[in-house]
Amino acid sequence: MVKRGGIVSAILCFCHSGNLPTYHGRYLEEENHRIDYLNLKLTRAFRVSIRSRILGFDHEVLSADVFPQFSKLGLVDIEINGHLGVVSPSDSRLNPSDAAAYSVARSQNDLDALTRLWDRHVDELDSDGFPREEFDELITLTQDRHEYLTANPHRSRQMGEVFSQPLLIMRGTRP
Amino acid sequence: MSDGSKEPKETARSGYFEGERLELVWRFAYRPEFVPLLMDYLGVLPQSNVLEVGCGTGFLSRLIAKSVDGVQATGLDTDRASLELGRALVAAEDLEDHVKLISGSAFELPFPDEHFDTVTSQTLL
Repeated sequence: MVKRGGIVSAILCFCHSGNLPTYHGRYLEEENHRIDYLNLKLTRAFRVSIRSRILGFDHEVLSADVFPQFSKLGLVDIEINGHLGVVSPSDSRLNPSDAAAYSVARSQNDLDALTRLWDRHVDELDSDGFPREEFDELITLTQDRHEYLTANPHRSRQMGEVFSQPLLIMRGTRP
Repeated sequence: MSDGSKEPKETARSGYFEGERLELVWRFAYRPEFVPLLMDYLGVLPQSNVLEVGCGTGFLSRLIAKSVDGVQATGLDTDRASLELGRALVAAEDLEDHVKLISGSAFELPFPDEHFDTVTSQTLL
């Protein structure tokens, strides 16, 4: 596909490998911690049991990260960089309508990702380390936070809430 | 719960069109001052032929075409609704000479060998 000497690269969402929470704000602290814990547990189960199988990765790679795959493909001169994007509705560079729209879109994206996973993989995840009961709890907690964040369009604007989008950017060259 | 007494709340999907929301979220993800560095990280060079696998609405393909001179960007995705929105955005941003969004699977790439200078993706893996 790529020419000799060409580059294969990817932007990867490393929050999903479990290091940084993607929401920082005044919503209930205990619920935030629980959401972060459950998100991490779900994502690990998904990456190991489902994504690795779909992509044909080695199942024994427990971290299920793609970094080893770049080397296995024979790519050289591998570079790994990162970008921590943050977006806050309180940032004065966003106009109020964009800020409100961002809060709704970001919250709903997080929720939709969960409901889509539920629809497609709940049985596999249940048998692979993420119980159905915890999946239910995570969806409910996320929906409650989504409703809190979007119930009043001025709230996010005033509270200094921050959504983060931590990314790894990886590249390698085809010899 | 496992006894089926508490199913996921359906209201999460009201008005659902993921492509539109993702477009909005990505619009704020990269500040303008970071974009040249991002292009370097991704290995996108001027006048090159770039494939984005799993392009969705083609946000990254359009960003590449707007940021690097003479690039021909091709976005590939299986989601027709996202591709439709993406093509409208390509036209609205006057990028039709530089960005093509086509329907296809990452598992059956419809391109000849050694066709692209750079193959990239955004949160696909």
